Formats: sequence, C-alpha cells, structure tokens
Amino acid sequence: MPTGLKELQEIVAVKPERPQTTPLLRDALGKPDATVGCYYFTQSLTKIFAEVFDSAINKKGQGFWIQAEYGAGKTHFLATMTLLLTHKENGLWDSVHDAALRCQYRDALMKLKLFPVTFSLLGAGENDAEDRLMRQFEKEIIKALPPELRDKISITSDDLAVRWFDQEANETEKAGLAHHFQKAHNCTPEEFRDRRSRQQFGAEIRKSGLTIDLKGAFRDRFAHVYQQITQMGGYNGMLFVVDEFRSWQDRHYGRPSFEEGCQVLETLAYYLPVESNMNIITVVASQGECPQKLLGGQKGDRFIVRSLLANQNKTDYGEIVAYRVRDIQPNAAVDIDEYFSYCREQFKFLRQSQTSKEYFKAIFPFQPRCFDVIRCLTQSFERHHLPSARAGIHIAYETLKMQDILEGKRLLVVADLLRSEQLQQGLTDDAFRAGHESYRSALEVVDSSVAFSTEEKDLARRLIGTLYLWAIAMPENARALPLTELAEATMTSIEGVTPDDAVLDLVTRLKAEIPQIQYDKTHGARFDVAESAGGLFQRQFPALKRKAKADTDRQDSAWVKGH
Amino acid sequence: MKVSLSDVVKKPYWSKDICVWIGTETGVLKATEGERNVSLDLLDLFTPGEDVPADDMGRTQLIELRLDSKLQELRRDLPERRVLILKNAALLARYRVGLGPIYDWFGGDKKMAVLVLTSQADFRLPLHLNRDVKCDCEATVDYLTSCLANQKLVFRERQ
Repeated sequence: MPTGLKELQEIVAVKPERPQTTPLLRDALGKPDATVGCYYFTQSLTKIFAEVFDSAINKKGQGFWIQAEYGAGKTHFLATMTLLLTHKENGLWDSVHDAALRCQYRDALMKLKLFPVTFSLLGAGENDAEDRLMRQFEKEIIKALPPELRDKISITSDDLAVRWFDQEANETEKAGLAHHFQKAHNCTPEEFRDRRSRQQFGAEIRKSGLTIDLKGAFRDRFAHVYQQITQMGGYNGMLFVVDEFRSWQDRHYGRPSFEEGCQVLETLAYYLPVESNMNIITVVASQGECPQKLLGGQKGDRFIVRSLLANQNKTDYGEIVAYRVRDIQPNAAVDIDEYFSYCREQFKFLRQSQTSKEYFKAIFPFQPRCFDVIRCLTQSFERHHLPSARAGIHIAYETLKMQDILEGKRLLVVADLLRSEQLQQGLTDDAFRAGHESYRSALEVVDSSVAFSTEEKDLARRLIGTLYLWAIAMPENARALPLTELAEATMTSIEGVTPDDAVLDLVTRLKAEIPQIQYDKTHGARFDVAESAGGLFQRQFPALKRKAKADTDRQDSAWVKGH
Repeated sequence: MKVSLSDVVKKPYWSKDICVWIGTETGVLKATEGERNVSLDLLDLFTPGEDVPADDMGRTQLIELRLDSKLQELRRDLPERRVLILKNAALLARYRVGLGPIYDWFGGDKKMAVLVLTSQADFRLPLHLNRDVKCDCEATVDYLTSCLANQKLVFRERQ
C-alpha cells in the first residue's frame, strides 16, 4: 500500500444523506436551491442548457426534444432548466456550480420573464377525451395562471364561449341564446350562470348552435392564449416543459389522437415561433424517439433532439454519480493530484486519452472502470431487471460509505461495488441467480483455502469480483481482461512485484482451484458464468472437504458424539 | 418470475411504483407488512352531505383537486419512507380521474402507493337483467391499469 497517500476520508466526505434519485417534477420545482444545487453540469449538459438559454434570451422560440433512457435524469434536468429560466431570486444562480454558465447567462436570464407551464403526462387515463394533448395543455395552462389572471384569460372553448357572450354577442344572438336556455333549462342564461360553473355555462352556450369564433385551430388557440398572457401578465414569452411524454406516446400511438398531438407540438415548436415570431420555448422529455414529423436538424426547424447520457458523452455518467455521492474536502485538490501521480506511475490507464486529469478528479475516488461496469449493468435494466441508471448513485453511495474503504488509501474498484446492497439485491434476480451463486462459491474457495495469505485473499476477492461483474455486465460480448487491465481495475499493488506479475501469479493459482476463472496468455482472464452455472455440488464439495479436513476439533467432537 | 406486491414493497428505493391491488384491505396490509404505511380513503376527501357539483366534469375536477392537495400535505408531513394505501380507488375510475397527483407526490424514492380495489370477479347480474344489461367487471381495473406507468404492477389477492 502506498504510504505517502492520504486516507480517502481525509480527501472526500460522503454526502450526509442518501442522495435522492427519483425527483418529482412539482416537488423539485418547489425546492429551487436544493434542485439546482445538486445538479451537475457536465460539458455536454452545459451545451444543451446554453442552447435553450440562447433561444430564450434572443427571443427566438424553439422546440427541444430531450431523449434519455429510464432513470437517466430527465426530470432533474427539466426542473433545473425551468428554475433557471423562470426563477427570479438572484441567489439561485449561486447554486450553479458551473462558473462559466453562471457568468454567461445569469444577468441576461434575470431580465427575462417567461410564463412557465411545466407538467408531467404520467398517470393520465387512456381512451379519454381529457387525455387529448390539447386538453392537457389547456388544463396545465389554467393551473399555471397566477390567481389575478385566472378570470381574465380565456383558454378553453368554454371560456371563449363565455367571453363571446360577455363581450361580442349582439342583441339578436343574445335573444337566440335566451330562447335556447328557456327551451333546454326553463331559465334565462343569467339564471343558469348563477347556478352553474363558468365552464358549464360556456358548454351550454356552445350547444346553442350559434356561430362563435372559438379559435378551434391549434394555432389560433395558442396564439390567442399567448397574446393574452404576454399582454396582461407582462411576460415576454412562454415556456412549455413536458415530462414523461413517452407515457402519452404509448397510449396514443397509431390513433388519430397521436397525429393530433404531433400537430399540437408542431404548432408550439414551429408555426408560432417561426411564422408568427412568438417567443415560445417548448422542452419535451421522453424515453421515446422524437416522431419523424417533428424532427428538426437546426435552429428554427421544429424540435432539436438532444440526448442525456448519450454514448458519445461517456464521461457524463461517472461525473454525475461522483458529484451526487461525495464532496471534496477543502484544500484536498493537492491530495488528489498525489493519487493521480501515483496511479499514473503505477498503471497505464491514466496515460490513455480517455482518462484525463480532469476526469480523474471529477470521479475521485473511483477507478474509472467502475462506471464502465455500472453503466453496462444499468443499461440492461429492462432486459435483465437490473436497477436503472439512477441506481448507480445508490451503488456508489453505499460502497463509498463503507468505513474500511474510507480508511483505505486506494481508489474504489469494480469489486468493491459488490458490497452495495442495491447491487446485491439486483444480482439475486432470477436472471443472475446462477451466476451469483457461482461467484459466491468461488469466494468460498478462496476464503477456506490455506494456500493464500490474508493479503492475497483480499486481492483474490477483488480479482474474482472484477471478472464476475465484467462478465455479467456484458453477457453477450464480454471479452477476457488482459493482465494489465485486470491489475488496473483491481488497483493491485504488492511491494516488490509489478502489478502485472502479482495478478499473473494469483490468476494462475485461482484457475487451478476455481473452474469459473479461466485464463490464457493471449486473451487474458475471465469469469465463465455459463461454465460454472451447473454442477454446484461438484464445485463446492472440494472446498468444503478441505475445510472439514482442516478442522480437527470438529472431527474429534464428531467422533466422540458418535459414541 | 412474476413479481409480487411484497417484492415491490421490499425494494430498497422506489421509483414511480404505483400499484393496483385487487383484493381485501387485510390482504394489502399483509403484503406491505414491515413497511410503514399511511391510509387514505378517497371518500374522506368529502364531508357527508357536502354540496358537490352535479355534473361529472365538476366532480372529476373536485376529486383531483382535493386528492392533489391531500397528497401534497401527506408528503410534506411524512418525509420518511412510506407506503400510501388508497382505499375506494374505484372512485377514480368512476369519474375518470387520472393518477397524476399520485405520481406527482408519491412516485419518488421514499414513497409508493397501492390503490385498493375490491374484487368484482364473483359478481353476477340477476338473471332477469342478463339480456338487457352487460356488466364489465374489469372496467375499473382496466381504467386504472391504463393509467399506470408500469402496467405490470397490478396484483390480485390469492383466494
């Protein structure tokens, strides 16, 4: 163990409370400082924020389609985006840890007054007229209106009918309407209005059959709403933020209502901003792909599609997870530098282009391979019932909280993750049970063996754990790990021996005792889950036999008991 | 392997786990045993004799409004891990109220909800009505299922 390095607990402080991983949109909007404060702006996320902010500041409405898998952080993204675009307390921007973003946009956005309509489509029922997208938008605009504007602004067809009655109907039309109410309800329109809600009154006016301009086309209706809100409320634009669009998409796909929904979105993201020059920003988050009709390749062209945790931004995941689970102690940057120098000297992974010093610092104290494995495991969430992307935060948090790890002087490695309760529970699922039993039986062999020293046993556990997780993270195409990679992934460090040699020695010995561990010089080592899934008894018996043979006390007592 | 309600309840962290339980209240209490819960009867959102809107649309809006505000209050008052047991959930189907407020306030890491429905499987129409009236015993379940983010989270109590 390198003695010059500080213990991890002197460099990092684990977050005192378990990080929240499923933020709820409305709840998150109600806690601005907490929501923005724990949001990590990776380079790629900053670019997306900047794009949306630029559109808002330049008053060029635009649609953005945010696509990401389940648990990838869409809701947190939307809540942070909404708050930064619409919250007017200066202090909120202090919570933004990205200094460049803060400097560039704080002042400009503080001058902007956008009217926010933020909602999730989760939980609406199917086959219901109320579930039409236009109705959902109307309902949410009404909910978002400040109390002083509620009675002044007409949003729905019923509202427009009442407005027509109050402001536009001529005497002849009113007489016709009076006749309708008398015939249908035996009362005057005024009497009906006193007894029923505004909505019911409007609905009844519409039943009269008179010609009323209800602004039935989506474009007319939204334009009418926009004009009223911006003029009466003093806003200089509108912001629509829609979460969980996939759930609506799934309910309506292949039906006329789906086409209608696309038209609604096209109106908001294209026709009104581009052709009518209205400053409407629409951000839709979905697990699903943007419908072809709504795709736009550039600014001013329907929806611009952006992905969270996309493959091309591989470092995002590790940076976000690390940020959420720990803080770096004040003045500890120099200590991290020492770890970096030590690792660079001992191992090759820091010399590879993808592990820059910045990334090493951003994910400290995790060995980068940890996030490769967690990402693969959580990406197969739907296929294998494993925890989703957000579970990586729990796995990292639970691992980092282990006291012996914090007292240690090495980076957290892949095998350490197996101590997380969240991961352990995921691995007991049917899809993994056989492999997990196989892994456990391999550990039992090591634990009961007298051939390994305590230090070697510790390293052997790390090797087995790493190879096992590597195998199940990529079940279809897990390649063997060359010794150098294995030494790095396990942070093997034995005084006087090179990491590669130490691993070679141990892997060779493990291979002799544990059939799951396979090694050849050309490809490296791997854990063969399939090979070891059957024949549990045959695999376990030798270890149990050895253990029993070594336990002379119990042998003696068994003899005595027999007599 | 089919997941049971107990399996969902035992998850260390929940995520949008809103379930439907078709069976008795005793059954749901047994399935959620070991986890702290809070019960809410939808009928308790109204006082007996209260003047409610005459039309369905008005009632739908009122239920949604009251449910939203009650769940928000429960979430605020009970910050720790909790299972919400929602009784008389059939009322939501009757008035086509969506589950939005339940996802909004009980869909996070520390909160989940179980909507309890009494089984209608044994219900039989009187013979003399059979020709004129069709009874769809699954309509309530179907509606609530259609509102779920994960439609596998519908559990029937074993008899």
